[in-house]
Amino acid sequence: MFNISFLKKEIKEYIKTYKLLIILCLFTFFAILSPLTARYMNELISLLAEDVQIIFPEPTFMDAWVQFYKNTTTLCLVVYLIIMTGTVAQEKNKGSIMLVLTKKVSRFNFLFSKFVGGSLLLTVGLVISLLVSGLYTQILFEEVFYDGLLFSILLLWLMGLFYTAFAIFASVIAKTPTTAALLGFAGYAIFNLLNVSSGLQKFNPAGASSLLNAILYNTSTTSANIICLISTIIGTVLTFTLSYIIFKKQEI
Amino acid sequence: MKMAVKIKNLVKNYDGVLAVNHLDLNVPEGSIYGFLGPNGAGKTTTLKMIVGMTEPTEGEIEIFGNKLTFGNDSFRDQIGFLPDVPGFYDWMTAKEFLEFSGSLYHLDSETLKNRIKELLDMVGLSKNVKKKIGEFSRGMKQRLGIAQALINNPKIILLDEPVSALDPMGRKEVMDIIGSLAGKVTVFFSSHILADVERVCDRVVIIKDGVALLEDSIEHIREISQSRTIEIEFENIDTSSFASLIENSPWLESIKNGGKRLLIQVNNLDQARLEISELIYKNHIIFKKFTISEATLEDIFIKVVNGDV
Amino acid sequence: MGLDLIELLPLLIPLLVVQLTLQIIALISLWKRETVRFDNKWIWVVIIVLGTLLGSIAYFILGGETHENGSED
Repeated sequence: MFNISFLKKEIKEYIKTYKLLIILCLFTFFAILSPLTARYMNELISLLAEDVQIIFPEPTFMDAWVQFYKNTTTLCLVVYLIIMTGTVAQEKNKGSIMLVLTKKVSRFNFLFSKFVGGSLLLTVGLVISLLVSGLYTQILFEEVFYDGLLFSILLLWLMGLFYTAFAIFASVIAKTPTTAALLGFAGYAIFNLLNVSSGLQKFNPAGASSLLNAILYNTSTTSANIICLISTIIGTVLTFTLSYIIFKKQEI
Repeated sequence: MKMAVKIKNLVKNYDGVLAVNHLDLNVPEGSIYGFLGPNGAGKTTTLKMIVGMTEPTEGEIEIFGNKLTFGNDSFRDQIGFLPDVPGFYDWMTAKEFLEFSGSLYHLDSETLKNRIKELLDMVGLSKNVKKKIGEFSRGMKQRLGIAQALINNPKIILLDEPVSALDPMGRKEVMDIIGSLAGKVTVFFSSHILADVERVCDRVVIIKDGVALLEDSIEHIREISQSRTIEIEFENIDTSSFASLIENSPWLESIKNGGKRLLIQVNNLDQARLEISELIYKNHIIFKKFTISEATLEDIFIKVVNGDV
Repeated sequence: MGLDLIELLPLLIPLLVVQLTLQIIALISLWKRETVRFDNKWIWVVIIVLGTLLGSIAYFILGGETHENGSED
């Protein structure tokens, strides 16, 4: 039987240790900043470099989305990833894992609660930032929606879940939170390097980050989108399963 | 006698280093059992294997007659565990941590509420319900640690070095709590300090380098120490010349020359006293002091650990 | 076309509010805590104030005291 108490503790912990606050502030900040920079990019450039006479095209709401995806899949995601890489490693480091696992909590229960807790944190962050960014885009450009927006959001969310699983993987194999964070960051860098090759991109569980713009400008094929969606889901399931197999055998 | 924990031929091999080396152990139900050994003897490793956190390389562990397999959680209702450095969530209060602990066992809220009140009273933390664990002293954390180990009303609790990090006051408080558990629950606790064990334990096992050196009741251990120490201080003769007089006596175990004093360990006290008196009389020796001291458990511990028994 | 700050202000205020909220909560948390990494609260005050949003986040993630590790027996 799945014991929900540990998940409840995870959620309370996000609140009490300011993790929810960090995610909310960070995601909201960039949700506001993205449409703003898109709208005033030209003015900013001419302010900073007055003698440069480059005429950029008038920005559109699409540029707001480009900025939003860029910020969300870089800084926001990295901070979330670093927070999540601590999730198991910190409990090991502090010794709290010992008090929990010697009670009636299976290791699957423990690890899956970590995954669900992290996913909830991410989901809350994404929902809020999408609402705020959508509102700002509407105010500044009077246009928000495009074909494939919902699919893009789904893809972005699933990629977030993949990184959640990956953070847990790093957290399980690392002995200290610092190593876990470094592993998580290294993984992030590698997955993004893989995106440079457009052939590999759709099979990359983190391929969404570059596919989002293609969907926005309608330059990606439906099959590529679907393959990317499936790779992300499979990547998430496999990464979590692998983490669990290692964790189950791990001596604590 | 029913056994709470039965360990047969337990081995833990860490890359060729035997942390636990073919250990046999029986903890009778209802006893307060001391698990003694110097630092690095393999106590923590053994305890971690009993609570299923570490997989034994070889051997068997039975808890109340049920054989333990790594990864099987079915025995967890029956045990409570306090690791050597318990890690709590600093943002919780003691009450919140106990509520959390209880909820992991699916205890219903009414039972849990009463149990928490009872335990907080028992470990003397009921006045600190508002305080965050992050602000607790080591002693308070250790007492909370005992409370959380008892939350599920287990049949046995295993405590790893519950007092070694504490100051004398905290030590006494925790030892009193452990003593008060006598008869209610089987207690198996490790320590490298004999005085703690001597006060509250019924039985003791002494291990070193992963091997059990001695396993017996406290009374028996006291009795086996036939060896006593005679301490003599001389007035008109130096200690080494007296030492040479007795060095071939059959009752002699060891001589320690403490400058002006001579510490003579003997295995037959009566014979030794007689012969030493005779020597003193014959050689016109004047002594300042002549005392006989019984071995304390501390001496036995040191002797056992050094391999002298 | 120049930047009209008056027109922009209502849009920029929420940005400032978010950032200041996090900074203030970080400073309060710093004030209340007993131990902090680097053993120096002033370092963290500088990081939070000058580092704005990311400085505050860095404080929350990295500022926690380093925990002693449990010793093996």
